[in-house]
Amino acid sequence: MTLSVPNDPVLSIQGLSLEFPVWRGALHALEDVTMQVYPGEIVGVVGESGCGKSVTAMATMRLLPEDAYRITAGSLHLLGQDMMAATQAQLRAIRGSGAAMIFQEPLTALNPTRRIGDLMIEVIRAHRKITKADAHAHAVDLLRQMRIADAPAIMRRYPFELSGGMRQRIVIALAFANDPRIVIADEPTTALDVTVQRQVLTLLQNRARDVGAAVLLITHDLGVVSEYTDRIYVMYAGKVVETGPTDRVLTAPRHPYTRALLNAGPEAVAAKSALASIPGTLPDLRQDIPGCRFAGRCALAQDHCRTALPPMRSPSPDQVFACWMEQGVAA
Amino acid sequence: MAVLSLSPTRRSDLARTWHRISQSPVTLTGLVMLVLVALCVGILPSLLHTDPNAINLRARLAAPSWAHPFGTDEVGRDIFTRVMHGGRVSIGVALFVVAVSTSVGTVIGGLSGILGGRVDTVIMRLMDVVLAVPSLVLTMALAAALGPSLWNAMIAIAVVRIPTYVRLARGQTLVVREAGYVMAARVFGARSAQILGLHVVPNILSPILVQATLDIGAVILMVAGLSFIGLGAQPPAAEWGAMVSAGRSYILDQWWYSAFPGVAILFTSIAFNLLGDGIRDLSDPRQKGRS
Repeated sequence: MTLSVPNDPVLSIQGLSLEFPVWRGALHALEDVTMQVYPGEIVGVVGESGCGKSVTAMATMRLLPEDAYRITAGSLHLLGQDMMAATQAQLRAIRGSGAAMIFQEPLTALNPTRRIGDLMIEVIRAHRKITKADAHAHAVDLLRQMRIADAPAIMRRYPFELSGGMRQRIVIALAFANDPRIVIADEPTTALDVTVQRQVLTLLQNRARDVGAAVLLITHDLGVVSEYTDRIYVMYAGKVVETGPTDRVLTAPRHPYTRALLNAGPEAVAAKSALASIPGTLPDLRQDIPGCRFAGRCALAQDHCRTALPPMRSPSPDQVFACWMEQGVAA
Repeated sequence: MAVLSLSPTRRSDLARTWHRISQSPVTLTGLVMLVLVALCVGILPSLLHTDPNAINLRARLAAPSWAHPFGTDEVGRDIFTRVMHGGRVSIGVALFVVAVSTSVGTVIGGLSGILGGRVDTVIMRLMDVVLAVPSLVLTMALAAALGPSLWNAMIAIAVVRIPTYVRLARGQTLVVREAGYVMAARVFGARSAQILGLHVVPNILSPILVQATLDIGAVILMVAGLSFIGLGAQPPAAEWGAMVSAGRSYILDQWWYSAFPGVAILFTSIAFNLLGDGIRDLSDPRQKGRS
């Protein structure tokens, strides 16, 4: 398994803080988020709803509505391009060629009035100066690589004529149309049923490995993370609370939240017993939280957890967690 | 049903569209009526080589007969011939007006919806101002200000009808703008013009087309109305509204003078309305697969 390749990261987020102005104040959606994705690795971002996963993905491609958010600190570089300072032309050049994105809803990601082939040819030709016939051939090739049988026939179909799994495979084929170096997948299989999920994710993984593209896989599903990613970032309430190689973080979590999240999975309990849950809810992100954001729900919280930011601790070179406890929750 | 054939159904779109039309009696009726109108107005006058302005003072205000199926007017002009020729003017003007106001309105409304913010506010308030004035009054004012001629009447009607399309297009764009595929198009590096032309407009077109088709009937009425009060087609031009107007002083004794142009307006309006409903169903690609 490849880990931090000594190479320039394709995605580098440094101490990013992002907020949405709301009535009387602001919602601190991301706080001091640092993430790196290196060429060819598959990185997972996990956390519950509202923890800032999707905001991170959207910010990466600069897709958030321009006047609705503020960057208060930090920087974001995608393929070396400062995304916050990029012009519209620079954004167009990066989107869909060097960096691609896969959305949660394959049902809505395809224009219902356009045939699959027309759409694919448009995407291909947006970044390459090739003829329609060549683009068509390339599109058929892309579909074949996604194990789509009878690709030329699929090219003539409208999205509504295809199943959810088929549509998501087409979206993935589109994402790989212009040999991206990084693909950001925001909950790519949430809308699909479990059996189709595995097929689609395996195809995504194989395709990324084949072409050496990095993948930022955003999900709330720890099963998906454990199976398909090399490294993970665990997010809670807009902060990265723990990061490290997937197997280490999942087998020996250090942060109380990571452990609580793992315990909440159905795999962790015996059949027919109640599922574990994390008591409490996410803190109000409009308030300034001086201490650890998880303190309100943490069984091990001390007084100082609520008043001061926990330090970043690094028990091994590639694992980092943010907690006041020296060894975290490690046994 | 369990066997879903993945091999392409290679029936052409045209054949498919025809099949769908033939399944819907209302659309079919509208289409047949329109074909009839097109034949009478488009082809018949050319075949018969008749002059709509030919005067025959010996047959003034003649009742409908074999020689003059719709009767004649006060200077003996054949009303049948004039209704056929007048249709060219009335329908031509209506098509032109609707084409202009639809395309201009869709582009302005689409842009307004996509750009949002201040541009949107300014455009929409302007449209509100236009909509606040009763449309016939505004059209009359515009047409009168430009001077009475058919061309000026066309411009006046087109301008006044634009806000309806702007509002419709903007409302639809606001819905479509949030759709995943518009976001996806941006993610794949599409230009704004591409997003508007390929992803937004095709998806907002269905209600606009329906509105446009329904509007043709209304515009025919409006042109007729302007001509009726003397701001549109000028005599001796044959135009339905002008003919109804000219016939109104004879309505008690020579009913055919106003009635036949009036029936022509009614018939054509109904035809376009029926077809409008049909187009709405046809332009939804999700229905193309159905038989």
